[in-house]
Amino acid sequence: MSFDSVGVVSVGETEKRRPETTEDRRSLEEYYTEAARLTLAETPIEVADVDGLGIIASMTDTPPIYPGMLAETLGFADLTWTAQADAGGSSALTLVRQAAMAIETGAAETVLCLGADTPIDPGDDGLFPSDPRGYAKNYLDPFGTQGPTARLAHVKTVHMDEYGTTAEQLSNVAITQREHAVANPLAYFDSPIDRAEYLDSEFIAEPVRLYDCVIPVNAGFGVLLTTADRATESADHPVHIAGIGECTNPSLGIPPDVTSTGIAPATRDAFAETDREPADADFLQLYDDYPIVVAMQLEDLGLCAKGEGGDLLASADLRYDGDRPLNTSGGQLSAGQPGMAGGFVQLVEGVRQLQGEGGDRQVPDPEWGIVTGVGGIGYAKNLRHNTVGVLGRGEDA
Amino acid sequence: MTGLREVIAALFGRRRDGAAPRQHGRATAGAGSDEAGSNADGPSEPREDAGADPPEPYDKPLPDIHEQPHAEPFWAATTEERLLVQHCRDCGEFQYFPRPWCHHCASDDIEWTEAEGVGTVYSYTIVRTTVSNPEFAGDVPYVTAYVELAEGPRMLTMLTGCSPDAVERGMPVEVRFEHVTDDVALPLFEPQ
Repeated sequence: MSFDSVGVVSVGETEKRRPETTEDRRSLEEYYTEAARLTLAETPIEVADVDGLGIIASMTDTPPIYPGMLAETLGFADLTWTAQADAGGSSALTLVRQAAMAIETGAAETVLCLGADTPIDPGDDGLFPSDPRGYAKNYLDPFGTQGPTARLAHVKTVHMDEYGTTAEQLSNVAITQREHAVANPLAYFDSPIDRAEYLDSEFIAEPVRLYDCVIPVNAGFGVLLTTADRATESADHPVHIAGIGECTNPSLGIPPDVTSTGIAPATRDAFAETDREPADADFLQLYDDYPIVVAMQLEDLGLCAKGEGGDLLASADLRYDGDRPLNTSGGQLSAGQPGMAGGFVQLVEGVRQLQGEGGDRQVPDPEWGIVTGVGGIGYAKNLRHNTVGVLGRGEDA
Repeated sequence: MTGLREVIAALFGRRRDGAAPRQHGRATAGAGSDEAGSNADGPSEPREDAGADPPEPYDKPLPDIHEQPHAEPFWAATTEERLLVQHCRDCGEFQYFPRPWCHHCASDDIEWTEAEGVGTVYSYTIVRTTVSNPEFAGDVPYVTAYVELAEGPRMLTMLTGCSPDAVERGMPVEVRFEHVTDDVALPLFEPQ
């Protein structure tokens, strides 16, 4: 669906940290606060003007009814709409979709969407806490398959075997995104890598290597949406949401095709009310939990045939000033993955590019682009949550 | 064996906030039974001195065999070295892992059937670095695989009895049961 009555005013993003001492850490609530501050800072909109608040469900353990607790702690009062999105890397886009629906229907007028997470805790050794219940605890973890890498690796094995996708092709994602991170002062990594380093990096769960993996960080992000009229008054460059589509738990056959994702149906939904074609996007902010996931998204967005994502990654110029700008902030791989708030990396960068705030990695004069979010790896299936967003300059609405 | 965080800190080195990587110990997260006689090593080779010292408690993640009443028959059967899958009498499909109803057609008319216990490797990965599962560090490198059962469903398991480099998609495998505690037997697979 599209949202012609909605405008994106601004975004906010904190620095990325991997604290090594407890003195060096910031709390989840401090990241939410800083994200709110940064998002509202350059606008005439204040906390008192916000009547809708959306957050994500973080990896950091929080009590029940947390969105309201956060609202109360930070002073977001008299809210007519609240929500908490719980879809992994898909949370940011699905949250903004819900916020846009609230504004479109009149349930709220000015909505702040915040995502923050603190997966790095100096007092804790593990990256992923054990599940309290569910199929992963009972049918995956006992067999040595804890965590997303060991699960996603199965999908990569099949894709490489069936389509001949190579590590060399996939390396372009890691290498180019590192270049973008070097140009992004808010990215975690600030040094480049080359193909040899990528190919030499050790296997975590073969065929997934170290340089295929995201860098977990603590950070916070925000996106401010309001009515289209108010957005035009409040921002020099408001951003228009041409469409957001979702697909959760795609069926994909019995037994399911693990090389395809729900990005294909989400794309049809996202583009349903626009004349635009995915191949014409001025940038691609594609959730990059692993380079193979980027390859599959290129296929399922329709930019190439199934199985040719690797070829496209090798033949296209993925740089911010190339023919297919990809993850211009560095993505999850190089800007960082702030836990369950990771989807905001792509979303905030998409808005920023359209507002001309891309700094040293500004895509030349973009009119519109694609942002995606994916989350969760199913049992004997591919990604469970899939969202596609089409964002454009407000003046083109 | 280092975890991913240590690997990242050591290999990636310098970062924007300038701090140096640090080393710290990794605690073993225990989730296990302390039953005497349990197989402490899980799927690896039996200890040669198994009779000499008291066996260590199994410290790897265990399924909660009583979490889901509908799944209790599955876990009971594994201790008897039987592999059960659910069969839907309405749509005819089989399903694994156990669910409360048929997840293909939402029918309640599902029954337990005993699987042949054979299948082929549909996909696999060789775990070479433990990230969130340090309890498996001693097994590295080990192979987890989705085995496509003769009945149709694909189940996640650990492959044993062959070198990781010898695993291929499509290779025929058969089930074997690892009795890790008195109450829990895990269905693992090995080449036929």
